Amino acid sequence: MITLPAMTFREWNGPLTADLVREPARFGLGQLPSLSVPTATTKAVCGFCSTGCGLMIHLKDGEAINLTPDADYPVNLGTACPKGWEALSVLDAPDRARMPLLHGKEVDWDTALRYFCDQMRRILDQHGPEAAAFLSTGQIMFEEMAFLGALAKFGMGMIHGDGNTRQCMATAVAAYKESFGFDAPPFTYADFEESDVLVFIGGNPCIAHPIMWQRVLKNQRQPEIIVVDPRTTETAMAATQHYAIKPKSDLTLLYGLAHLLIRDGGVDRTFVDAHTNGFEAFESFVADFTPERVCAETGLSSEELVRFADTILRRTNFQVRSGENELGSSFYDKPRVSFWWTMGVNQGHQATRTAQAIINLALMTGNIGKPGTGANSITGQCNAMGSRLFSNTTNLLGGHDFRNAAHREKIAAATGMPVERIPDRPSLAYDQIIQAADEGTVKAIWFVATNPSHSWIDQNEMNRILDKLDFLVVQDMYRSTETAKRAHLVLPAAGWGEKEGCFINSERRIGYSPKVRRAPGQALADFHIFRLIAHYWGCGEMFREWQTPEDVFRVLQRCSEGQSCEITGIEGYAQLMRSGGVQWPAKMTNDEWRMTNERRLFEDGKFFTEDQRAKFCFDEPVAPPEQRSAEFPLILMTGRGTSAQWHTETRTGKSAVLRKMAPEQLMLDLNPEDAAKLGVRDGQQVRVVSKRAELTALTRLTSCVKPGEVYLPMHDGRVNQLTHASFDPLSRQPSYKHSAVRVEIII
Amino acid sequence: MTLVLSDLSDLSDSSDLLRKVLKEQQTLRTPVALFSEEYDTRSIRDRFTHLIPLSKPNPGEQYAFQVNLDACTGCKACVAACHSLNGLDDDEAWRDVGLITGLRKQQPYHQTVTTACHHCEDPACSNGCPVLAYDKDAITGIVRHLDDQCIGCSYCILKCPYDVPKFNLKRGIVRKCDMCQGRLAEGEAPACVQACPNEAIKIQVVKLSDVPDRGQIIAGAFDSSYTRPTTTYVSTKPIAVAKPADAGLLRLDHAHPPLTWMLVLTQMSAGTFFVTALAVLMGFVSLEATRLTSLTALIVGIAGIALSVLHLGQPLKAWRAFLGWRKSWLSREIIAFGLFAKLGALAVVFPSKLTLGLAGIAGVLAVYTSVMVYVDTRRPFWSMKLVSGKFFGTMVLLGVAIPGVVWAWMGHSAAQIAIPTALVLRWCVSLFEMREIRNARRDASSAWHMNARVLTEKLPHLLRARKIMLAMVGIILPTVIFTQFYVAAIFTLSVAITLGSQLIERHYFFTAACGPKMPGN
Repeated sequence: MITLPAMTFREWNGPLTADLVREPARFGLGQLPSLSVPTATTKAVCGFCSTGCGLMIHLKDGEAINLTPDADYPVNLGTACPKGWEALSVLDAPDRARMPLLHGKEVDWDTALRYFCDQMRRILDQHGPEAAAFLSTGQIMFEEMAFLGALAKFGMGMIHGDGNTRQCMATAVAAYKESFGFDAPPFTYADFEESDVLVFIGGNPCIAHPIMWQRVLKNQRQPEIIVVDPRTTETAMAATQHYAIKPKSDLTLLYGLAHLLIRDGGVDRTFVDAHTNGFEAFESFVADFTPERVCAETGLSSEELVRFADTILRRTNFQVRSGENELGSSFYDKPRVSFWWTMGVNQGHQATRTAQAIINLALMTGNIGKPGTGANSITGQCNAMGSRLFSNTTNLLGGHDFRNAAHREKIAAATGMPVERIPDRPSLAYDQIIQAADEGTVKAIWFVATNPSHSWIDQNEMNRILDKLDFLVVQDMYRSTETAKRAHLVLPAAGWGEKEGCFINSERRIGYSPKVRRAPGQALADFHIFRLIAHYWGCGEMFREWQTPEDVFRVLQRCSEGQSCEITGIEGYAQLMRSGGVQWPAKMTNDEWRMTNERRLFEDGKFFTEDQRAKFCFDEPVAPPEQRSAEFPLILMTGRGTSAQWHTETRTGKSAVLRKMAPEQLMLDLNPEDAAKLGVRDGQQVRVVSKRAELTALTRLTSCVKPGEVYLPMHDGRVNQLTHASFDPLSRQPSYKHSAVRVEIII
Repeated sequence: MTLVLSDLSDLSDSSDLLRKVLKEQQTLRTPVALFSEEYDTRSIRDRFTHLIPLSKPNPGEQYAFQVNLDACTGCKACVAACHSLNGLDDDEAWRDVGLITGLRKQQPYHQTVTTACHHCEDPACSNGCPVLAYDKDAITGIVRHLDDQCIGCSYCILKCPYDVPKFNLKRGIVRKCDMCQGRLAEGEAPACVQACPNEAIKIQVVKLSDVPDRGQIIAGAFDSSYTRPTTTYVSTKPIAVAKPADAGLLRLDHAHPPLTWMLVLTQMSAGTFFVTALAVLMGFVSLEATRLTSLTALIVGIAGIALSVLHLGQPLKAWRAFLGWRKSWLSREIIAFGLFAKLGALAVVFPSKLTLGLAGIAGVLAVYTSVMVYVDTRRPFWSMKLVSGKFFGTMVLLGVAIPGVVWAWMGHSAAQIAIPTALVLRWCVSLFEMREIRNARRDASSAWHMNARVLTEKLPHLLRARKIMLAMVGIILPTVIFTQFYVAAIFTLSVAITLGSQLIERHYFFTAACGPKMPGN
């Protein structure tokens, strides 16, 4: 665009300057560009991660034109990470799916839906109810998840369905269920601010959950911040203590800490006796985890180990003096210690026991149910918690058990479904469904809002199996995902902002997100797609009551009745929007929850087990299945790249601003010592080879990874070709953090 | 696969439902948030008062960014907010976040670095602007870009050692951070300050006497003596030995094709006038024999100058380019070449020793301004030695070659001097450059070691092409010429190849320039 000059020597103003003029906007927003001043605002909960930030949506003619973080929302207090800021712009991508695609060709909805039903019915009729499965997500609203789970299982008669939450949260679910009696993260974000000691294990919240880190920095108690991570991450840098243990030696470390805490009088005997089971067995089990052993296996020095335990015990880093032990815990002010874990724990070959080792530390020191304490799993996706409670996959709706006849009766009554339509067994886990597909017993899979062709461990193997399927359906916002490209049928879905419903965040907060944009082409809300499938399948009558997401919300409220996660007290969407979200439990029969917007569980020391006691769970650590070898001498860890990247980047990759925030090419973090051995320079292109595949990357030399270890961000589509597929036996969660590789120079 | 569709006679209401659902999907009934009036009373202004100065700077002071590195943990919300709250284009943001990382075994170090315009005390962008499209506010010290004044010459991009001004292709101008001065004027915090969850970015008032005039504001940043950047990075952590995470990456910069052509052609033109004038003054040729060489030089020169206009995003505004002459070498270059073209035309129309001599001198001076345009950016690859060697080398080489061609075709005896001189110069210019590249490549401490690596690792094909051209021009063709076989035609071919070779050199003069910048990822 060429503009004509004004006949002055200097043009201080003009059309190009006007492009950037800002003016006062209303709604407390301060100055905004004149071109995008809103005429109204509304509120939404962000649809990326489990932090669950509140966003103020700027509206013009009822449609969203921009957004800013919501200063009144109790989660994020007026800030958001870049993904949240860009949540609207990723909706405008040219590769949005606008029409159904049958074998890559656009067809109308009628054709697509008939084809879907024909194929699914043929496969289920010919090969039985186990022959078709669905694999869903933590990214859609839980009303939609519930519809999918109910439709597939009660309506269409499938047995198996799981979610991509298997890749992120399954471990926390398994750990909490066994230890606490219910999948119940006990914390509220205020605990970040109330702790004296915060212990982060296998997490990098600075970039993975930056808004939670904001809460950590709001802590006025001058806390000790401890980070356990093999790498010197952003969070490790921001911590007061960093323990760079050997990869996957976390379980040993945690048992070693328990050993020291027992030795040094750190056990809260009153709490343990009154509220837990199995401590004696645990105590004798950890007797073997002497500092010598733990130091040898984790790579820490004994001073480091003692300092760590001592900080949990009494916050400040005193030397342990003999004679002090028998004085017991009342001698000093007991610090409030909170333990936080993320994917470094959840994605391990002994993940559940590792998470429970963290829970054990909280239980034995009495750090639970009080402000600033807890054994706290920070979840991944915006609706991971919704998926855990309401996806009807491995649990029957509302955290119930498929095997339990009373539960089936209850859910049948709550949903109005005939009880005989409710399967009497839970689903296979994700990896087992894929294995069944390989063996040929599962012949059709319906993927909703997830991209396993990129994200699943040992990706080439996954893709080989997907290509064997008789019928592969992908329901997604984008037609360009690696999985959609393999699909026989793609169903175009509306995304966050183009539909309404609720998410449940890490601290159990249910938040509402409205429809503020029109979906492109004929893309439909997942909710509508499920309604249509129910109709075309011929089971529309069963879902007569399920007309709107809020209708389903009501159904799920009924399902939650009497459960730990009861939400019967919530009035509806209007209340959720008005109140800044509501944490479960929120019972109709009890009004205490209305008093405060930050609530934690177990304040009365009563857990959700039969006898209301928490349980100490533990197992002997075993070595990760894939070890270094002469051929593959380096351990590859994978994880988050930057705060601007989300999973397989089907969404974040569509924002030019977010793309700018990450390196253009895949960077391999490599220690300078290893680089010197290999004769590799900073910024040089190298080949990373595992037993399964190889890829090229540019080196980024840094002593933040230790010699013998390398790191790759998971967002690049090739990285999971390298990873070794092993699974936690209890949670069936893949272990992404420990694969053997070598690095080669490209000549 | 054939499509077998079930009989849906029992689903006669399907199309109704589909229609209803598709319609419902496109209907927005956005619930508008309640209490919006309440927000009006609680302005964003009140939330950030502790992060911005309460009063205007006094004389001898200015506003500056202060970044608390301990609080910057790499979330990059500042970048997104700058983009979003300022209504910038798709990939445009005036703030960026990079990373510096440690290499020492005992000191693992990982620090994200948020960076925007440093609102320098002595802004290089402003000093280089030929049209005075920058204004450093007398009170706040904010370096503001006047978007409607900008001609889109991109010289500020070359001048800024922090890679701050960014070219906006859609608008044909540069845009940059103005510290949200409109917000500050109303007591509101800039977008990046508002957005930081950890309050890592602050606006403070700094004394100009405290602005450092040496060292680096952070590892990997350009020496502060050049522009005196006002941003301060503070940390309570011990300073680690660290380098930008992207320090090892070999990047190619923008090629600026019109400038490549402009530089080579104007140098060819200036050189031709210069050599012609010299030949006349020394009595090698008559004035008559200069008519054609001068005309060729003039045409080439005007073509070069005209091509440079293609480089501008707003060419119609270029008439103001003289405004910056006090400080801007680009402004001076534009004036100098304007003068040179006029004197050249004079020498063509009224050939005399005086007019030719004036054109020759104007040409040399104009090329000198070209040299200074690049030297003034302080990039190591554009050092006085390298740039003047290349530019004046090109000038005399092609300046001898063009008259040589003309005189060879005319059968003039001066060609017998010009042709061997051109040959010797060809070797000199090339050997000078090859030696410099080799030395810089071998010496890791050389200021332009990375440039030499970019050349040899990212652009080896260009170096190879130039070597082949040198072999042809420097060995094969002279041999042919020595046999007196089609001298004029073969020498013309040789000069054409030389011209091509210099264009290639000028291409990587830009692409291998490794413009300095703040740490990246």
